[in-house]
Amino acid sequence: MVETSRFMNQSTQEKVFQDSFALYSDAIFRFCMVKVSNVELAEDMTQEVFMRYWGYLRNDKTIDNPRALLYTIASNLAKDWYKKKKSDSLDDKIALGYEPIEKSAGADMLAQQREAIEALSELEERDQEVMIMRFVEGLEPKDIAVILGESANAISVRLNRATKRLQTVLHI
Amino acid sequence: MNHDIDTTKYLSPLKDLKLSEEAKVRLQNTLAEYTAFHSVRVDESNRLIEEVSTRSSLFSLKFAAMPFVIVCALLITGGTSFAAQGAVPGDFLYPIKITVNENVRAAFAVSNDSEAKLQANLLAERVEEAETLQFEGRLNGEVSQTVAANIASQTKVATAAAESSSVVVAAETKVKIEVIRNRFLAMADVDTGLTGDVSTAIVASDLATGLYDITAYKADMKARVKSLTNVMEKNQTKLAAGVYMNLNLKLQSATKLSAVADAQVETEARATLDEASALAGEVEAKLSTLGQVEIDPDTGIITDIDFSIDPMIIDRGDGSGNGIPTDPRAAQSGMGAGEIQIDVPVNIDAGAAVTGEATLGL
Repeated sequence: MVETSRFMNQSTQEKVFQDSFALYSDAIFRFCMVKVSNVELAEDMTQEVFMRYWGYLRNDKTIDNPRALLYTIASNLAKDWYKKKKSDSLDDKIALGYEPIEKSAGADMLAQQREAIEALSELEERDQEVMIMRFVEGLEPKDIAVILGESANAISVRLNRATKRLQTVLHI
Repeated sequence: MNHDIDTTKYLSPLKDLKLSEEAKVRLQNTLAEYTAFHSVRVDESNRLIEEVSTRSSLFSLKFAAMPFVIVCALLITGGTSFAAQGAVPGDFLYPIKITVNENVRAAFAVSNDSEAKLQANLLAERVEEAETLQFEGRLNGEVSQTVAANIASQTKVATAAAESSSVVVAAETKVKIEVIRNRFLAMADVDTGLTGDVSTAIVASDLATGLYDITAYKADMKARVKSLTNVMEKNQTKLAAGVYMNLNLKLQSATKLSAVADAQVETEARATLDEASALAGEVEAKLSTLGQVEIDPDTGIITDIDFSIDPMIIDRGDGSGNGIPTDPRAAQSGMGAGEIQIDVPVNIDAGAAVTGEATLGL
């Protein structure tokens, strides 16, 4: 990945961009859903994440790990969003409208999804992120470590702790 | 590990959470437009687009390509103008950006080519502002109308400027304008606030059907200036004296120019009309910051203005809230009385300087 970027042009970068969108847009959307609990907001946020991602690509930067960068952008956006909405309670967020995602999805599934999001939102931000990456996206701790810039060991510890917290929340 | 299984099971429904097909297509389209517009920064040919500020850095000065201009603007107006660069319609610094910053920039765009590039840049900026507003959820009501009117008049100005620039720059600039315009139309498609009469006017504008036929251009220019003069006369009492004089001077120059164009050969006439159009555009832009303008959907000409509706959503701080500027200073700058007032005299000077230059061009 050395210095090839110098010769990149619009179409190669657009290709990289479209590939990343195809691969990661759903994952980023899920990530945003957990953060904001609202379909419309999560869609907007996903769009903004990719716009910022393009900001890196258009500056002719080579992205070694697109997924890591996308998650980082999303996580920062979520922080900004929390800052702005600090006053809103979780209830307000959900009252904004948790719409059915897939019209075909059954009511059961929707209820379960909503419940899972609510439970996750009881966790700390960083714990939420680790939990989604591990149990929803199925990433290994070492991959999560790369994305979050921590050691694999730290991620495992965090996963353990977060799992316990989630169990407490769920009274399992 | 049994607990882990419970947790996994509990979270697994989220795996089926996906962007809906509809949302995915929408995002893909928006992003395709976005990437095309904010093209990769490689060489000089991408400069124009590159200079467009992105919404994530509202207050950064992306127009560093004109450091000299910025320095001058700073010397003249101090930090306010600097801060105003990131303003959008509805912000209280926005009038400063339009009347001070951009007139200073215009004064430095001496050649026809740099003028064309500048005007296309300004159009891009108008659309960027609209997008910022849309993103922040502030694009509604009168703000939409102001935005659409600004973009409509700037499209005309930029097209006219492109036409009078050199062949290469003209071709480049027209492509840029087309890209920017499509981007705006795409926005208008999803934002109902922008649809209706005003965006119809933009679609029907010269750009959609190529350049003005010279005879039509002459006629349209006369109609436009005449209508503006009427609007001005009708509302003389409602405008602050300074504003009225400033705008009237510009209109008079525009009227003279369009009369001069009648006796000229086509190329010259076009250049003269472009000048007149730029002046009329300045008047239109100013008027649309003062009240809600009524625009003829077929021609895009401003036919009336309602000062009782304030296009700028500003807390004037005087509790009147009716938007009728009683204090001439407030009218000039569009901001609340007692707020920052330092730039107001410069504002008039800058406008006068531009007018003076245009008149000299006769």
